[in-house]
Order: sequence, then C-alpha cells, then structure tokens
Amino acid sequence: MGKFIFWVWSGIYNLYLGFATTFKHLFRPAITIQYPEEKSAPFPAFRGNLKLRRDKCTSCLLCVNYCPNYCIDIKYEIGENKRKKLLNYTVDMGKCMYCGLCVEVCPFSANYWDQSYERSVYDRAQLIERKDL
Amino acid sequence: MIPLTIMLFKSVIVLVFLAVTTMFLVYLERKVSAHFQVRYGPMRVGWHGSLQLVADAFKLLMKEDIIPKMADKWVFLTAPVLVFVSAYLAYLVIPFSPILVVKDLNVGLLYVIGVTSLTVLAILMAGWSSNNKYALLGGLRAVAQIISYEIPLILSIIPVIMLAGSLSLNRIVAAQNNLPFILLQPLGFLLYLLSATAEVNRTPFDIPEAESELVAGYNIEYSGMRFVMFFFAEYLNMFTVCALATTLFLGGWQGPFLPAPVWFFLKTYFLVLVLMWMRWTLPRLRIDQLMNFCWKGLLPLSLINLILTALWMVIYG
Repeated sequence: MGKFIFWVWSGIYNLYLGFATTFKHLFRPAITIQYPEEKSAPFPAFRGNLKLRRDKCTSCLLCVNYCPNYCIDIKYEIGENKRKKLLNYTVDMGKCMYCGLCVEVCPFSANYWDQSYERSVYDRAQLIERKDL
Repeated sequence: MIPLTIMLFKSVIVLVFLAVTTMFLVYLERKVSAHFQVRYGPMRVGWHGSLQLVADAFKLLMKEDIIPKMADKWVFLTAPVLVFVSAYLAYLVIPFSPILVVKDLNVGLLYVIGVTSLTVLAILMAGWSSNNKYALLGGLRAVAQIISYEIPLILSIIPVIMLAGSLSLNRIVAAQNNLPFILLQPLGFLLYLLSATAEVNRTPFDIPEAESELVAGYNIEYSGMRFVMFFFAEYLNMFTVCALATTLFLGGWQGPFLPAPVWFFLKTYFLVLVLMWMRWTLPRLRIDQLMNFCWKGLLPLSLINLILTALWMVIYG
C-alpha cells in the first residue's frame, strides 16, 4: 500500500515537473532569429570566403603548392630588381575544401578568411573567383 | 415557419463560426506549440503568420485528390464526409448563450455523446478502405481506444446529470447558477478531461495516428481536401470536448459583467490551451499502457466518483 501511494505521488510530482518546465518555456523569448531580416554573426574561426590582401602577397607560390585540391592559380611577372609582381590570383571555390592550409602557410598573412556565408551562385563558373583587394 | 427560419439562421451563424474557429485553432496550435518550444512559429504570411492558414488551405485545395488503386472506393470517399459531419453535428445542442443555441433538445447530452461516437465509425471506415496496413492498424487502434475511453467519459458525466437533474445542456448550465460543478465534481472533471483527450486522439493518447510507428495512421492515404476534412474534424472535436467540459463543469455561459458568449469562449479557449499544454508536455503512451490506464485507472475512479455522488445525494439531497 505504501509503495502504491509512493508510486502515485511520484507520478503526480513528475507530471508537475514536466508541466512546470513547459509552462516556463512558454514565456521565454524565442531563441530562433528571423533570417533574412536579422542575421547572427558567425563564430570568429568561421571560414567563409577566401580573401587576399593583394599588397602583402609576394607571389611566393607557397599557397599554390600546399593546396591539396589545386584550386589556387597565380599569374605573376618578373618586374624590376627581379621582384615578382602579382598579376592575377584566382581561386576555384568549387574545388576548395576550406582546409585553410593556404591561410596557415602564408608567411605574410596575405590570405585570410572572411565571415560571409550567403555565397550561392547560379553557375559553377561563377565560383572561380579573382581575388582582388 | 418562423421557428424554422430562426433555427436555420442560427445554424448558419454556428456553421460560419465553426469554420473560422477551426482555422483559428490550427493557427493557435502552431503558435502555442512554437512558443512552448521557444521558437516563433509561422511569421511570414500576414501579420505574425495570421494568414498562414489561408495559404495552407489554398495549397491543399489545389492538391491532387488521390484514391489508391485497390481501395474500397465508396467507403474511402465517404469516410471524410462522415467524420466532418459527425464533428459538426454536436453543435446542434451546445449552448453558446441562453439564446444562441440551435435547438435545445431535452436529451441534448445523450445526443452529443451519440453523434461524437460516429467519429469512430468514420475512422474505421477510413482505415479499412485505404487498403494500407498502417491505416488499418490506426483504424483498429482508434476503435479500441475510443470505445474504451467512452465508458469513463460517460461515467464521469453521469454525476453531472444527477446533480442537474436534466439532460438538456441549457438546463445543466442553469443548474450551475450558484456554483459550477467543477467544485462539486473535481475528480469527475479530471476524469472527463483525460478521457476526452483520448476520445479526440490528442497527444498523450494519440496512438491511432502515432507518427513514429504508424506513419500517420488512418489518414495516411488521404490527400488534398479529404485530408483537410480529417484535420479540421480533429480540431473541431477538440473544441467540442472543451465546449462540453465548459458546459458541464465550468458553468457554461454564466459569469459576471461580460456577455454570455464571451464567457463561454473564454472558458472553452482556456481548456483548449490546457489540452495544447498537455500535448506539448507529455510523451505518447504505449497501447498497453493506454488500455491499462483506461480499464484499471479511469474506470474504477469514475465508478467510485459515481457511487460517492449518489451517496452524497441520498444523504444530503
């Protein structure tokens, strides 16, 4: 009999706990956000789009050699004092797997990730991006 | 001729009102469930998603009406109509106010219980005729559940009839002039609410349409407008049991200051919100737990309640 009363009582208590929890949730402000109008900032380490600071790049080709998917293509010419001059830095973002090796290997921090995430395009050709900054 | 015209006029008012109510109930359920889960719910169509249901209705109206090849065609086609009609029929006697009742039958309560039981038949028809194992299982479960829970439902109503001394719903409301029956029958109210939730297949007891095991239960093969009929009937049935609980236990349209229909809707919507709160709190029962709960829990309790009320009436009445 005592066991039965305890059983009924614990049932009622647990029901109360459940109902109280959901009731509290009813008055909490919603944690979802209304996407196109409000946007949440990505985390600092988020890898969005690969960007290049053109003035810092020395065309050393380390990023090209480290890229596992061969998606970086650099065109350069030998200018005065035998210094390399960057002409064109293209990345095929369709091939890129966002490993970030190019960013880590760059000795002058010319490569970096930005925080953009709305990056869908209509054509695969549009994913081949010229990096100019 | 004039009484007939008045009755027709009243029934048109009630029908229009019910159509709007069901739409509103679906919207309310989506919003309330969203807020229970700390999200917004529909927000895009209209102000705070208020026109979402209109958009959904247009979408469903334009969908293809599929009849499975091996289905029992005529039964399949008539089941949604029957479930819809049986949901609407109960509102013939439910009093929204002393005047706004289509026809105050003197066997009103018996009539309500009778017509709401037709839903079982419609669900079984739908489950049987779909020629689908999930639908059939859902239909059979619905029959087992609804017929079992009808017994404690009726046994929890009988003390109210004894106290009021009438089956007419308007007279039952009038009998609660001084004191709503929930204060005399707290156990009866609780039993009624639980078995009514099972009657309308709402979530702690929604095994006939358990998504995780039966996909969608008896309405799995229905599409477009016929599915809408099942859906609307379900929400209308929920409103019916809440309106009946208001009438029987909470004093119906009676209340100070505000007009009678307003009190009726306030009480009914309060109960609707309680049912939604239950739905978004409790997990679904297993079928054996469900049957045990009915036959070993609710039935003895409702019998005890009935006997105690009878004793009380003999001694003090």
